[in-house]
Amino acid sequence: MEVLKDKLVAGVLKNVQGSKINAPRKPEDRLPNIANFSFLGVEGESLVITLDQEGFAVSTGSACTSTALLPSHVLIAMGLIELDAHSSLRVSLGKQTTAKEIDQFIKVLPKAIDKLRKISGR
Amino acid sequence: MAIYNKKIMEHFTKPKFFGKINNPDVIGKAGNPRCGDLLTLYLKIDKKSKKIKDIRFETLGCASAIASSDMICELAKGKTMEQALKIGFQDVSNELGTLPPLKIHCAQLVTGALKDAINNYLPSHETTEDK
Repeated sequence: MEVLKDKLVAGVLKNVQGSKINAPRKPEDRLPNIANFSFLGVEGESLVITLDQEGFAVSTGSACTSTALLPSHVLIAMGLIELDAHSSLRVSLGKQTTAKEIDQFIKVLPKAIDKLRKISGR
Repeated sequence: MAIYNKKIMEHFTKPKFFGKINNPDVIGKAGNPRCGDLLTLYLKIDKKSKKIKDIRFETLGCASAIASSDMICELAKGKTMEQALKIGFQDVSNELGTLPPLKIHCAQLVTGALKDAINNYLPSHETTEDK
């Protein structure tokens, strides 16, 4: 699963300008199945809904805080500024996730982000 | 995703009024980085009739903030500034078929931005005749 996650992270950072990964510095401190990104000029929830329409179920943060409007307290504690925390996307991989799905995600994501950046003007 | 109705999704996925107006007569802003929504409205005003000739938005925000931005533009376009000032957040929410309770602030945000624009316009364009 970690191989797939590394493929996802590399693909996203390469294909989307203004993207960054939110993760501990040491690779051994990271979970093998979850990646968290921030995309400049895009708000997380609108990205989640756009991707949902493309068939991808992703989230902005943990399920336990999904009804809160505040940015993730974890990302803030990690030192992110509020705008970056609001623009976060959390992608979780499961047992059934395939390399083909990762490829498809990496293809669809830049289009979704471009669309929302046109709307935000950023 | 079931939290939004069809009308909200329509205005979110196919907004008609997004973008910038070059040389707008006035702009209005609302939002802050903490709540995560930042909105700018660009307006062209007909000097004689004081009607809003054109209006566009740029919004960094959630789906309902984008849908509400599109709706406030639809409601305000063609109205005089006096009429536009009377558009309430309930009007925006009702036109969208009611926003979820957690998202009502999005409607307040967009009416706030429109009021900001109109308040910015009026003092600088008052003529002696108006006084």
